Amino acid sequence: MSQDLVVLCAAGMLVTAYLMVGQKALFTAIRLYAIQSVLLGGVALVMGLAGHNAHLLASAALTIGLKGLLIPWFLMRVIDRIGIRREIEPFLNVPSSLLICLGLTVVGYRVSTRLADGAQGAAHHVIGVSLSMLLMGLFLMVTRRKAVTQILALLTVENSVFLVALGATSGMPLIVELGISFDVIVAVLVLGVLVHRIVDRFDSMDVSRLSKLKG
Amino acid sequence: MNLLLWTLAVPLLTALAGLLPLPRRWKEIALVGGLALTFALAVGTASQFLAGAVPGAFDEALRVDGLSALVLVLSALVGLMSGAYGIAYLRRNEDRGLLTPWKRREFDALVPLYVFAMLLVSVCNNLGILWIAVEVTTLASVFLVAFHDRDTSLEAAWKFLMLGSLGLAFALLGTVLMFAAGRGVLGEGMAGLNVTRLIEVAGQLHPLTLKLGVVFALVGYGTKAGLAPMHTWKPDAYREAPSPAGVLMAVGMLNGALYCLLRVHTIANAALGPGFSSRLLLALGLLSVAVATPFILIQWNLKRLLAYSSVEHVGIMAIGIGLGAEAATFGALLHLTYHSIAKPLAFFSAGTLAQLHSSSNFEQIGPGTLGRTPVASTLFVLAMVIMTGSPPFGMFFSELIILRAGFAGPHLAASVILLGCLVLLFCGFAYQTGRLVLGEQPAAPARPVDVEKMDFGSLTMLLAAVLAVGSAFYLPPGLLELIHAAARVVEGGR
Amino acid sequence: MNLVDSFGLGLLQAAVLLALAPLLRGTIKKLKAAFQNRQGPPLLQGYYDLAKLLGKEPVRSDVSSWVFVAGPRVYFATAVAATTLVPVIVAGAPLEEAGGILVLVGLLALGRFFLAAAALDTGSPFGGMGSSREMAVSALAEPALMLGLFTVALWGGSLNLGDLVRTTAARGLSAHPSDLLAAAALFIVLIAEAGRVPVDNPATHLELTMIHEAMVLEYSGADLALVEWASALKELLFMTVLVNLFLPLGLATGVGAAALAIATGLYLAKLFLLSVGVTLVEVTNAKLRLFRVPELMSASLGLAFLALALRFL
Repeated sequence: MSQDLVVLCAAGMLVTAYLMVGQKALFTAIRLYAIQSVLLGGVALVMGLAGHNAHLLASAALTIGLKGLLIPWFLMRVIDRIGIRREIEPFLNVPSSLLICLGLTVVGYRVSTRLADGAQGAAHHVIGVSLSMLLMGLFLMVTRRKAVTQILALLTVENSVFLVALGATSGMPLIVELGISFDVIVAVLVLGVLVHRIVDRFDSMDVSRLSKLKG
Repeated sequence: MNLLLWTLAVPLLTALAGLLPLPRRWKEIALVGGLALTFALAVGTASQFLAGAVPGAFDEALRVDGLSALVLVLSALVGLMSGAYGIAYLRRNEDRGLLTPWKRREFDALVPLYVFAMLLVSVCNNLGILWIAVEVTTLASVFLVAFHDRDTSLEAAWKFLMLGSLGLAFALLGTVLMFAAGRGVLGEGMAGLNVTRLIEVAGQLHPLTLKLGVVFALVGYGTKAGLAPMHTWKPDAYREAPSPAGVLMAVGMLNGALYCLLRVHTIANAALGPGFSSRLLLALGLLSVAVATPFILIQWNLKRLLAYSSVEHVGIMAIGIGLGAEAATFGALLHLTYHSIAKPLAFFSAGTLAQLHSSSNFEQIGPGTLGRTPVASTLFVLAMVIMTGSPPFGMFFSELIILRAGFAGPHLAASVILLGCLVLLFCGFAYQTGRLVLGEQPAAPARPVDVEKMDFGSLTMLLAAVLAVGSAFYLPPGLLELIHAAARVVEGGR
Repeated sequence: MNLVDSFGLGLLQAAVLLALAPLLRGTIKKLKAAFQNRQGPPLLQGYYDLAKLLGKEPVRSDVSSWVFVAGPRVYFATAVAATTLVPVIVAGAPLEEAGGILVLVGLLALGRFFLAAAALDTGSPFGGMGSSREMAVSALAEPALMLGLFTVALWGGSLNLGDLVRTTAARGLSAHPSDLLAAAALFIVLIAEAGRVPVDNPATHLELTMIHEAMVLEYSGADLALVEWASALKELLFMTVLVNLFLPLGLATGVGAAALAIATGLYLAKLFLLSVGVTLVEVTNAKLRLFRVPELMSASLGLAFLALALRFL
C-alpha cells in the first residue's frame, strides 16, 4: 500500500513536470511547482510513516512547508510586485517540447534500471521518474527565457534530485538535508532579488536580453 | 573549541562585524585584522597537521589531511590579501563617490563570509557538508559579482548563479548517488557521506551507481571550477566582480572546487580503478586549455583575459591529475600552489589599471599604460610573465613536471596538445600585454585617467609581487611538505 | 443474462443517468459559485431549463435541411447509447457484449459529427466557426482519449469496459505511474469535452472564444433541450468512465441491496470529488486563448502517449 502511494506521488510529480512543459501561463507554472513539491513531501511522508523514520517525516514537513508553500508564495509575490503576467515565451513550441520530453522520459527510465535497486519495485518508478524530471528540468532551463521560469526549471531539477535521494536511498542524513534546504531557500531569495533588479533595469524579465557579455 | 573551529569561526565573526555601522577606520581594521587572524589560525592548524595530528571536528565531518591543510592555508592567504586590497579598492571608489555605506557593509560582510565558506570547503570530509559549503560560496559571491549594479553586472550575476546552481544541482545528484552506492555497506547515517569511510569500503560500493554519481559530481563541481565547457560564467563574473572579490573567485573558488573534484576523484580511484575519473578529468582539462587559447588571442577586456587565464590554469591542473602519474599529481598541486600565490598579483595590478582608467576594456585603457601608470603596468607585466609559466618562476617548473610526466606516460597526444596550447598561450599573453602596456600614448585619452598614487592598494600590490616572485626562489619547507602530503592523499586516498 | 434483460437494464441505466445529468451540471455551477462567494443558480435549475425548453416549439431556419433536424437527435441518441456500455455502480455494463472502448469512442464521434454537420447546415458564420473549432479540438482530444483508455486496456487485457473494471477492481488500487498519467490525460480530455474553462467557457456567449456554444447557437426549443441534455449526459459519462476505471473502489459485484446501496453512495461521492476537481480547475484558471487550446490538448495527448510508453519501460 505504502509502495503504491509512493509510486502515485512520484507519478504525480512527473505529470506536473510534464504540464509545466506543456503550458505557458506563469502563475500556473508556479502552482504546478507547488503541487510537485507537495507531492515530493508526500513521498517522504509515506516512506517515513511506513518505515517509522522520524527524519523522513521532518524532511517531509520541511519540503511541504518550504517548497510547497514558501517558495511558490515568494515567486508569486515577485511576479506580482514586478507586475508581469504575460505568458512564458519558449524558444520551442509546445508540441515539439512535449515530444522531446517524452523521449527524455524514456531515457530517464532506461538509465534508472541500471542503478543499485532501480530495476524493480517502487524504486524503479521513483528513480525513473526523478531522472526523467531531471532531464525535463534541464530542457526547461534551456528553452525558457523568462527569469522566473528559469528559476522554476532549476527548482524542478532540485526536486528531482531530492526524489532520487528518496528513491535510491531513504533520504540523506537530516543535518545535510537541513543544510541543503536552507541553501535552496537562500538561493531562491537571491534569485528573486536579482529578478527584481533585472526588471528594474531592463523593464522585462526576459533573460535573453542579458546578452551583452560575449567573447 | 579546537584550533580548526576557531579558524572557521573567526571569518564568520568578521562577517558579522562587517554588518555593524562602525566608522570606516574601525571597519577596515576589523576586516583585515579578522582575516589576518584567520590566516594565522589556518597556518596553526596546518602546522598541527604537520606535527602529526589530524585536526578534526564533528565526528570526522571536518578533518584536516594533507590536501585540506594545503588548500586551507592557500585560501586563507588569498582571503587576507583580498581583504587588504579590498580596503584600498573601496577607498579609491569612495574618493570617486561610487560607494554608499550600504555597499561598504555588503562588501565587509560578504568577503569574510566567502572566506569562511572557502575554508569550510577545504576542511570538509563529508560529501554532504562539502556540497553545502560550496553552495554557500556561490551565494556569498553572487552579490559581489553584482556589486556595481550595472546592466552587465546583473547579467553576469544571473548567469553565474544560474549556471552555478545548475552545476550544484548536478553535484548534489552525484552526492546522492555516491551516498546510494555505499548505502548497503555504510548505512543511512552521516557515515555514508564520509569520504574516508567511503574510501575504506571502496571495494563494496555499487559500481554503476557510483560511476553515475562520480560523473555527475565531476561535472557539477567542474562547473564551479570553471572547466570547459561549463566555464561560460567565468569571464562575465570576473569582469564584473570588483577585483578583490575577483581574486577570491579566481583562487578561492577554483581551489575549493578543485578540492571537491579531488575528493570525488580519490573515491572513484579507490572504487573503480584508476582509469575512470582520470580520463574524464583529462578530457575536461584538455578542453579547457584548448578553449581558453583562442579566446585569449582575441580578447578585448583585461579582466576577461584573466578569466580565460584561470580557465587555462584549472585545465592544466585537471590534466595533471588526469594523467594519473604520481609526478603529475604532484605537479598539479604545485601548480595550484603557485597559481594561488601569483594570481592575486595579476588581479591587483589589472584591477588598479582598470580602476585608474575607469574601465577594463583594452580600448579604454591602452596603449602605452607604462607611461601613465608605471607601477601597476610593470607589475602587470611581471604577473603575466609569471602566469604564462616563464622561467625562473614557479609555474614554469610545475608545468614542466606535468609535461614530463605526460610524455613519459601513455597520454602522449594529450601532452603534445597541452604543450602546443601553452606555447600559443604564451604568445597570446605576450601580444595582449604588449599592446596594452607598450606603444604610443594617445594624445588625448578617451576618458580622464587618474594619477597613480602610492596608497594602501599599491602597497598590497607590491606585497603580492614580493610573494609571487619570492615563491619562485623560496617555498617554505612546511608548505612543500604540505604539497607532498596532499599528493599522497590524492594518490593513496588517505 | 438474456438479451431482453440486458436491454431493460441498459434502458434503466440510461434513464437514471439522464435524470442525474442536469443535477451534475447544477452541482458544478453551485460549487463554482460557492468558490467565488456567490449564491449561484438553484441546484435544480437545469431541470427547470429543460422543462421550459422542451415545452417550446423549435424555430428552424428556412434554408436548413434534414441534417439540421437530425443533428440534436443523433447527438442525443448516441450519448444515450454510449451510457449502456459503461459500468456505473455494478462491475459490468448492461450492454457490454455490444462493444467496448472503440464503440464508445465511435458513438461519441458520430454524435459530434452530426452536431458539427448540423451547425454547418444553416450556413450561419457562427455555426461554421463553432464546428471547425470543435473539430480542431477533438482531433487532438479523441486520440488522447483512445490512448488513455488503451493504457488501461493494456493492463486489463481487454477492450471491454466491463472486463476492465472487473480486473482493476480485483487488483485493487493501481500503483503504476502510467495509470496516473492516463488519468491526467483523460481529465484534460474531460475538461475539453465538457467545454469547461480553460478550454471553453460554458457560461458565456462571447463569439471570440466560444466553441461548443457557437455550434448550437441556431437551436431553440426542444432541439436545444436535446443538445443541452445530451451534453450534460456526455459530461457525466466521461466522469463515470474516469472514476470507475481509475478508482474502481466499491463497485458492486453482486445484486444485494446493501452492496448496491454502498456502491451507489461511493459512486456519487467519487463523482462529487471529481466535480470539485473540475470546479477547482475552472475557478483557478483563466480561459485559454483559442490558439493555446491545441497546445493543452497536445499536452494531454502527450501524457496519454507517455502513459502507454511507460507500460513497456
